[in-house]
Amino acid sequence: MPKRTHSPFLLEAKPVLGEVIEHLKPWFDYISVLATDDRGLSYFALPGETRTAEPMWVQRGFVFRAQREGKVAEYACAVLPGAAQESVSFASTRSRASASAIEIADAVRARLDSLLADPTLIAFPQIADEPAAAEFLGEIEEDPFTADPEDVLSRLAVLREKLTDGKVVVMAQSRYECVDVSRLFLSPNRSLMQSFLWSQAYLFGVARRGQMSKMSYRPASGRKGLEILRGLETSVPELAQELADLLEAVPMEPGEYEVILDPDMAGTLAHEAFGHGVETDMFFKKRAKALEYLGKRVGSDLVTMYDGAAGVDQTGSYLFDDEGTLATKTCVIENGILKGGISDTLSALALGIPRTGNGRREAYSHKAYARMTNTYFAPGTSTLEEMIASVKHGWQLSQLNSGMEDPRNWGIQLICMVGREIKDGKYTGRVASPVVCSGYVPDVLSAVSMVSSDFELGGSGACGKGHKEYAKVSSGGPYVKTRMRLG
Amino acid sequence: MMIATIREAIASINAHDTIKISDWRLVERRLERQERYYVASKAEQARAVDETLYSLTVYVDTIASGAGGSGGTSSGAGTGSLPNAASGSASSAGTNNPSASPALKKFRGEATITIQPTFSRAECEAKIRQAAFAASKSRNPWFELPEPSAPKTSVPVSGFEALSPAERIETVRHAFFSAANRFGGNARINSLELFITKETKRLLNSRGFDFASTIWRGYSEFVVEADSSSGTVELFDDIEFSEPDASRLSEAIETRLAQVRDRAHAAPMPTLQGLSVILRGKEAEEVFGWFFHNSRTEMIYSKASAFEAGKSVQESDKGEAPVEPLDVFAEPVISGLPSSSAFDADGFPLERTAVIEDGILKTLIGSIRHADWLGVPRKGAFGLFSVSPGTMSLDEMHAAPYLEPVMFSDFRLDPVTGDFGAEVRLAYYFDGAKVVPVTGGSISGSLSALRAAMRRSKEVGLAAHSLCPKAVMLQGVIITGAC
Repeated sequence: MPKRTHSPFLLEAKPVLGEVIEHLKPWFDYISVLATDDRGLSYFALPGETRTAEPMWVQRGFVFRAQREGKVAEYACAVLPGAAQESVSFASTRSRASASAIEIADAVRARLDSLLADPTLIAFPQIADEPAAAEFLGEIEEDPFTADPEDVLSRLAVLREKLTDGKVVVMAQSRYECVDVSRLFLSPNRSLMQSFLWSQAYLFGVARRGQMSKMSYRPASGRKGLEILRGLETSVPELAQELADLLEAVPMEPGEYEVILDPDMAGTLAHEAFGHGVETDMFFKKRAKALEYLGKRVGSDLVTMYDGAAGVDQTGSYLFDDEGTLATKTCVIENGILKGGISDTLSALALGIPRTGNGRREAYSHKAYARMTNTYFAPGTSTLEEMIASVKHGWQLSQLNSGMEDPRNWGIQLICMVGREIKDGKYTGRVASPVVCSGYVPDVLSAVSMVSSDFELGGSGACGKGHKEYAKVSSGGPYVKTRMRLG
Repeated sequence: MMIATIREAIASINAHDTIKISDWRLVERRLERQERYYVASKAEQARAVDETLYSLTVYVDTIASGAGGSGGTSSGAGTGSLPNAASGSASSAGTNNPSASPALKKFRGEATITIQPTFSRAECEAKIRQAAFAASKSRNPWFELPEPSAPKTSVPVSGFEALSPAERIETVRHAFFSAANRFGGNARINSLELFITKETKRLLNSRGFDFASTIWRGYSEFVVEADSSSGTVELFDDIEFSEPDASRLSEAIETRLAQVRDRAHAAPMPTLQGLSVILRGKEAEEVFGWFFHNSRTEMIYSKASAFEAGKSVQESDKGEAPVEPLDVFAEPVISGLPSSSAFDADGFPLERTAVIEDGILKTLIGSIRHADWLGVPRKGAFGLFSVSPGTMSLDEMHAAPYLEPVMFSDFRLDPVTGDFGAEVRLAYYFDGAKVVPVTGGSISGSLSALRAAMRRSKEVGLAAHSLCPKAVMLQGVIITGAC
């Protein structure tokens, strides 16, 4: 498969930024710059129209981080201050060589000095700057940037037209988007560069009877190109049937049930239950109950959970994070015992724990937080059929709508669109929608009684910190059987 | 400077390329933002951001034989790009309309791209050329961009304008922390993030529209906590603002401090049946917002909305008539809310519009292209709305047994189906004798079934995107207990 290439803009910027960092180095105890040039494409096939645009993730800019006497400040800019002007390329900046770098450095220093004068700033231990040099170039099959837009729009239009029958499914839309990520990190001792492409696609349908509407969807995602559309193309009949079933859906009778979570729901349980809960900036703020449970039991022996940008290949994978730390894979829970957290630089320093390469930003213009990457349960040994057969009365839950964490008080919320009833080991044919799943996290994980041998990761969504700061992540793993309160 | 570069690039493409850009729309946004991240009363770090964003939409018109008109992709044969109007005068795109001919129709494709301020002239032109090519592959019904017009309303100048950068941060920080200090006792701020952004926006199009405006966007999210016998409990909230309105900011944090104090001694929520559920604040706004958003042209054109002009939007799916019919207005400006705007994203001038009257959908609002395609008058796309007060006071709502959730994990209301649900972090339960704080469990339901019986409060208040009743009371919500 052909490799991606680094952004020409970043390659051109690299020597100038290297000089700027050298000029800034004497003024601070730590200095670094992250430069981003992420381009993207979005294609939409909607009822009666098609459109091309760009995803929200498109960005190009710089963020300088400085530390002095322990205090930390950042200055982010789309255009380098000082010498640089709008629409002046680095080629022309380079023609003025060091003079430009000095002017840029002086302007950046003035902004950082002003920010570091804030008397309320906390003093952190010194940020380490261990030597490192590395690069990564991703690979894809079908390059969306060289594809004919008409072909992409046609594929999407066919998808939505196949799903819309005008009787049950009154509306459908399809969408493909990709981001060509290119990042450069420089500090006095580190030079890192990575470029890779990820894609996501959706097929949505709305079924209607009278005034009642029901909606469902199929996603596709990966560090892949247009090849992800192939999976959606085979999903149409199943989605059409699901939408028809949803028109017959009943409200969920409140209660605690045996549940089988599909890999997407199970992955989101992992993400919400112990992903956010072990983000170590939450430890630093004393907002995470998990801090009291390190080394203690939080789930059944069947529960093993990981997070890591390294080790698997999905939309949360990368070589280095947005603070210049190389990616790792963290075992969060091993056989039910809570092992450790995922860290950004500042919380790792404050807590005296290792940096795990989880310092991520929504964009160069946003702060880095401790964030998840690819979060999943490890597979077990059961089959889905065995799990269904073991259920006396419960529900198989799929088509995740959303999830939310409560790291301090260990509540959990998952909402899905499809619940299929199981009685005495067999589907009854009854469908409930929507289904709100809640519970106390240790109770839910302690009740995990079966884990399938499947392993699927999905990366079609985004993760927020609170209600903002979206980061591209994936989650998943096997089917998981547990008990939850449904309503 | 970049605006001139973009204009030159479009002119060059139209002078030399086969595919002509028929029209364009450009948005320039310059953002200056200050950020603080407080842990207790100390700042974890200080950040400043200078961002410039250019969003360019190019429209490419084609003529094609055959029926067409339902939208889709260009078929190649029988399709051709029309002469442009975009590079020079703004007069000819609507002329020479082939739709007058029964055999030929005029279509309009579009592509939106981001132009980075660091693009070179060559990079800029190459990207616009790619966008024009992509736009030529879409064949949607034709529509016309708005001509230049005067605003029909104005956005008041923000009080932030007169403050220095340091004063802006300090004014807002002080409003939050002094309120917390006054509150005292068992509840306090755990952490608070503060963002104050000055956004200078310029919207231009190829028809000669050119309008600049300045918006101040304040945003804070905060976590408050209180000690309980089983450990510390917390509540999370956020607030958007465009004014340094100390009383509004203080009230927001005081409300949550009082509630987190109650969460510290909340009991597990029991499973309850047949109880009125009162939704407050943001959740009440989401309920009203469902009616507003389903009245948008794009929702109705795509059939995502089941609403129809002239028909009731409050009749339940079983045909029950509304107990308290709604009045909903689209609002261009609401003082204190950052989404206030004199023009919509296409440059259409906004003015207050009655959308729903007495429970009946009167006027569709939303994107002008979808208005044209539906054959209804253009009203524009609004970011704000208001809802008229109801007939019950909050005291009257509280007179009979109820469950009043005031904080959820993440309240979700599906914009299409009206299905809603969420885990409850704090609710007040009145059993007819006493009010007790409860936590855990969840609520769920569907507005399509519950809308006829909904009641709204007499009292109105500012929410994130609206001025609407402070509470909505629903019957028939499923309440799942925590135990």
